[in-house]
Amino acid sequence: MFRITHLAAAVDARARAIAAGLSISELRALLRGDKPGERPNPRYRAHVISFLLHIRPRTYPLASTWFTHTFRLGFFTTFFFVVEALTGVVLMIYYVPTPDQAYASIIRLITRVPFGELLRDVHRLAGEGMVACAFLHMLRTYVTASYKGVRSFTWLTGVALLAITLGLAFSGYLLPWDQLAYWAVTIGTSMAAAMPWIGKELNTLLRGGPDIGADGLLRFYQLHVIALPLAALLLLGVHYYKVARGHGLSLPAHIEEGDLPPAERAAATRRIDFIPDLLAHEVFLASLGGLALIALALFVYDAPLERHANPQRTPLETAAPWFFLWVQGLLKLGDKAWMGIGVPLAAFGLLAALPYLDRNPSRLARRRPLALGLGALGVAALIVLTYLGTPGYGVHLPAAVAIGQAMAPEEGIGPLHMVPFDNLPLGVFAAEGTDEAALPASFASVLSDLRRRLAEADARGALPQARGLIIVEEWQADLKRITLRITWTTEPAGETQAEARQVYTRVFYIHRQRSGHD
Amino acid sequence: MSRIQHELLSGLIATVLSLALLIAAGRAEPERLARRAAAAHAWEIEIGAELYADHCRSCHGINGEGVGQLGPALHDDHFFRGRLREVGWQGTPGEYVASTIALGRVVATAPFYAGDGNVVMPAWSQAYGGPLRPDEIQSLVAFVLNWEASATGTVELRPVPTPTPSLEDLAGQAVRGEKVFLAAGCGDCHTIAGLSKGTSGPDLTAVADIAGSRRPGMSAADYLRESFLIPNAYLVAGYEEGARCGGILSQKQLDDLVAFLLTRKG
Repeated sequence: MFRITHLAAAVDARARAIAAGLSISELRALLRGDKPGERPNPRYRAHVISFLLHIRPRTYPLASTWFTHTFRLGFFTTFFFVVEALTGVVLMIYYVPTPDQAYASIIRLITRVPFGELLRDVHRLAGEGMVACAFLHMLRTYVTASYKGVRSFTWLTGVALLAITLGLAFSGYLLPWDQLAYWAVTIGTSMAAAMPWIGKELNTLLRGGPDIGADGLLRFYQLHVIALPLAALLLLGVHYYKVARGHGLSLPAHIEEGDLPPAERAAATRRIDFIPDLLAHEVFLASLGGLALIALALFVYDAPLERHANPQRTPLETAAPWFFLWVQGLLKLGDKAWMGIGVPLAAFGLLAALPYLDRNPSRLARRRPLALGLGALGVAALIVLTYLGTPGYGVHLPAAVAIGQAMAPEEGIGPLHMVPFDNLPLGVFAAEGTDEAALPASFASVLSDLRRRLAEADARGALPQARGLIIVEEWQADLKRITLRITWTTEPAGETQAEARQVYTRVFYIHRQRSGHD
Repeated sequence: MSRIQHELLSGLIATVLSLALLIAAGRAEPERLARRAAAAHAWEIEIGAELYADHCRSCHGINGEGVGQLGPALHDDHFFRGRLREVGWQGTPGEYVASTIALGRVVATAPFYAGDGNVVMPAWSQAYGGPLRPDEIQSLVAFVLNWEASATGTVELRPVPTPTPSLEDLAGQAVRGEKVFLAAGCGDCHTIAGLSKGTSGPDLTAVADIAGSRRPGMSAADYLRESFLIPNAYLVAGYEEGARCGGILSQKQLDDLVAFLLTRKG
């Protein structure tokens, strides 16, 4: 008997050492949602014993945890940050930060490493999720006015964290060293060059030379895996500590300062325990987030990978990453120095200074119409600028090139790649007048798509008397050469010039293993 | 059930689902990796085909058929079956092609290709002053090696069905060959009675009669072809080492020229 109780005591002591002072029976009570079985409450003592728990408040006012108050955006930003750190550490094993090796190491990751592609997709997806959640978290904080008074400094650290998050996303963008990455970052850093006084030096510092090369890649890599994560971790600590311990969690405005019946206020400010109420909720959210990431990465989302970076070949369409499209939109409106540097810096400056500019003490929506109006205006401007920043707006490819790009894009998979390989018939096929009934349906539909595009361009006067041709040749075993040729007539430029027939030709190749996919 | 239990249970279900997804993905992973590797290789071949058209075809022919004296055929049975042994290469065919592209042909190997008189094959790697990155060289290797199936006869490449004129006879070839003879400036060195008056090279007026007996075991057509590609392989007594017949004659032009010369009888 003595031995058994002795053993039970030893097991209990070990369990308490691991579970921050909670006994096994206490843990079971936790999972059942029962009240604590010991006094003093061992769940509160866990916050003293455990490092990870000591930064979490023991209790929360109920209203601060309402879903409609936080939308869990701060939580998910942090969750994504943790996912990024974990997946990033594994990705670092396979990635080589040199221009000769970087792209090949990504290909190796996708084609040789089990779960490598999943890892990359999750890392990219969670990164974009982190940017989105950080921005929305800030928007929510603005709308609920949780940046006022004692919370000013917390807001400031939040603005810095948003900037770091954008920096992390942007520096990670370059690492695959493909065309997409290279040109987006070339454009991005070229704005640094437009900075007055220190532009040239800043540009050189970022790129490691006049152009992005081995030095620039190493700098971005270093920023991405060490400097910015460390800064983020430090600021995140400050940010969270301020929220949790510094000034109290913000409640919905109408509860903090509204005229409420005492009973209702008491119900809303009733304190709930972190363990187990919120901890269970966070476990639930994290599991759900993990499931969503894995499912999306497996079935929906593919991290893009274009061709190897080629400084000699500017892509037809260069797009900034979606979270910087608004800057690209600004660039279409004005010059680099003002629009590319001035306005974004001013915007961040305004955000940082917001708590000090907004002297209105009230948090209630109806007492801050100006702030909310300006906020709505800001969001609208961001949406419009993002639209202006999309490649389709304001930049027009020559009509024939645009058709070529639609039928056979420089990057990725075009309609002709989607035709099953054996359904690409050998021969010369005019867009007009080919007997499509004799052709495989999938190829015939591409041909009629070409005819429709040509007719549309002809009707709009962009390609007068347009004619199109697709030539399919068997080039090697499992390789076909496709020639897309568009001819049209240009108006005579002067009296001496006769009207001339113009030709656009695009030649590309399709291999069996890359065809028939979507 | 309390809210806590609901949430813990849902969390547990989500975690189990995640694990199930991962296990299912893991089981399909070898197949996915193989598919991805095949697609990546296919992409290399597509890119290699573009690079070949940009950088290689002027010497090795648009279809790897070789261009006269400039560059050997790559789309060729011998290239895939005999070339490595011929040069004593110890590594893989891929390494042979990669190193040849990267370094160029530092020392000419038999059979001798004269090049265009300046260089044999130049170094293409950026590491040695050429224009190509390592990944581009790998793409080219993938493309060149992909000729193996059709070069060794495993796969027959079908020509594009186009309305072609009826096949021309040898006489038609000879007519075109005469034009090649004149256009390429052969007549500056060689005499053909009634056509040209060059003297620094042998008289070709009745070359068809003697071509077959110049080199033992070599047909008249092969002798003429060799004399064009490697002028110094056999020197007729009394003549100095000739100029390289520089410039580019395509295989087809050379065929036409040979057909024309074979009609020159005494």
